[in-house]
Amino acid sequence: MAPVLSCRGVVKTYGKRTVLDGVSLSVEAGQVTGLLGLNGAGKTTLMRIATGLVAPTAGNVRVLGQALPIRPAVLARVGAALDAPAFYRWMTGQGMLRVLLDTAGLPDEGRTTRVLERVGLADAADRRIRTYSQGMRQRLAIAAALMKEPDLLILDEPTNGLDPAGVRLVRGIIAEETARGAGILISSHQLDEIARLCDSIVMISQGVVSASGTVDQLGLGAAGGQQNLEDWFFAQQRPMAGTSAVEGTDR
Amino acid sequence: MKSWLRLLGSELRRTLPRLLSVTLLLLLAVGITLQTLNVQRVSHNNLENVRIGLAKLTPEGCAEDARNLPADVPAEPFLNDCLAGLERTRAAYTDIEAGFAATADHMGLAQHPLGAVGWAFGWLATAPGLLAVLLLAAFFTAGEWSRGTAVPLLLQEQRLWRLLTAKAAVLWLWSLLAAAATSLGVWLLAVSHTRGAFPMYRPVTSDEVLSFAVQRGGTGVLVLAVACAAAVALAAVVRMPLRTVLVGVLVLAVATWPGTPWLPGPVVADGLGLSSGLNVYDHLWTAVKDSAAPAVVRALPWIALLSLGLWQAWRTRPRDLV
Repeated sequence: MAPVLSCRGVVKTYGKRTVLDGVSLSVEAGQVTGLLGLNGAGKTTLMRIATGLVAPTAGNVRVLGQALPIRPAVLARVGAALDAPAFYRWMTGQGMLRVLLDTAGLPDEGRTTRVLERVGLADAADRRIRTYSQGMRQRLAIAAALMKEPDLLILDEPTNGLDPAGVRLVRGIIAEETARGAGILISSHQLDEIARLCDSIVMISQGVVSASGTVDQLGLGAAGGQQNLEDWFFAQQRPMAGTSAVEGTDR
Repeated sequence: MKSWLRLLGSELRRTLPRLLSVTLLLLLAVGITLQTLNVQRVSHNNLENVRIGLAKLTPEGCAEDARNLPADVPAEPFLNDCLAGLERTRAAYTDIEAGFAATADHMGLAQHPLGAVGWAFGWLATAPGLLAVLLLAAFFTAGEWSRGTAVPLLLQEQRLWRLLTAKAAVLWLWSLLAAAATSLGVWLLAVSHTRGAFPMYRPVTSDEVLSFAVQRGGTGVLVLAVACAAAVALAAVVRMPLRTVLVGVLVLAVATWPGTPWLPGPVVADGLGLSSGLNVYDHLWTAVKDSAAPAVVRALPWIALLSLGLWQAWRTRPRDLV
């Protein structure tokens, strides 16, 4: 079965700056692939490429078997929550989701109510977004990603700003989505969460894949403990010129 | 078609009921209505004053002026000079009266319901209306990128031309609503006040008013459509509201430079028939007289250029969506 997302040798440059340099990964249906890396490693850029928002400078990207640019029929099967979620703050949560559905040209047919219930925002559906907490906005972004019942779900740090109940909710949603058959690409700085949720992991360091494989292949399944995960994480960082990786991180 | 309607409906909900849209619409409607009152009053007073002056240009008037001179000024030489130059002065006053009468006739068209529509488009398709369109395009199109709300939208629809077409269409609809509100304001002013206080200076035929309304209204609708498309395209290229406004104002200033009749500004002025009125009265737009070719011919290269630019942007995808 073809992967729901396949990236081969993806390069992205902005002027003379190379953000991604030959990154390859794939996301299989019903599986969760974790994307790890320090801030500025290129994770968000890769996710933007995978969602068609940014064009790769070179390389091959196939979303649900189709090459970029993403066609409308394919986009209708892709859900994503990227970056810090930005919404129309004067709108209600449900109104915002309806605007997004209308933009996609899709009818509501109860979708917005269902996803708001799923992310625990049913009670706040008619409240203006400006009154939402950061965690509620994050939940709304996840709701927007789920509306189309996607075959490929891309989540950029979905647990950012969430309380423990929210984190557990996201974990449950990811389990439900994979059980439904969706492939998920997720990035997070919470290493234990990634190790627990993901079937495979791709580590990006300075725009290059420095480690990839299943959790077991990488020896993280039995690693246990935050300290071991952190040690593994920093061991995968490419040293910056004239310094060690950890020193570079501290800077 | 359904998906188009959904997209348009979504854009309408996000644009029309917003504070900036409503405020600009009201400012234009009220401002233009007040300016209409002002110009009708000024043109009426100008004509009245020149006619009063003309009525006094008689030998009797000269004699009266001579009698009213201060005691130390000799009356005889003054009276002789006045009588000798009477015909020349009357001719000059008559010319001035003809000019003021023509202007007053033009201003008076706004007292007719159809004329009010033409009058409103004369403003909305020139500097005030185009600046408002630019502001709205900067806020509602460039602002999508600067505020980050372009990301969730583009995750739903990546055919940028569709999103931008919906934005331009809604902006155009807003400009037509502004024209309707302004026309209503100008007409209500005529009914309630100016028809009585500053009556039309000569009876106008229905054909004359209709021709005025069709020329200004028809050209105005087209000018606003092109302006909305251009402003939204500019905003999508620049992607920052303040910079969009600055670039837009610069483009507008260059386009309306009165150096050659082939620039878009003079083409629009001639297309709307603005040349016949005083700039400050009805449009704040510099019109070029003695154009080398009809306005529609001079508009073609600019429409072709804009269409080519939009087509090229649509066909290729030269840069990242965000």
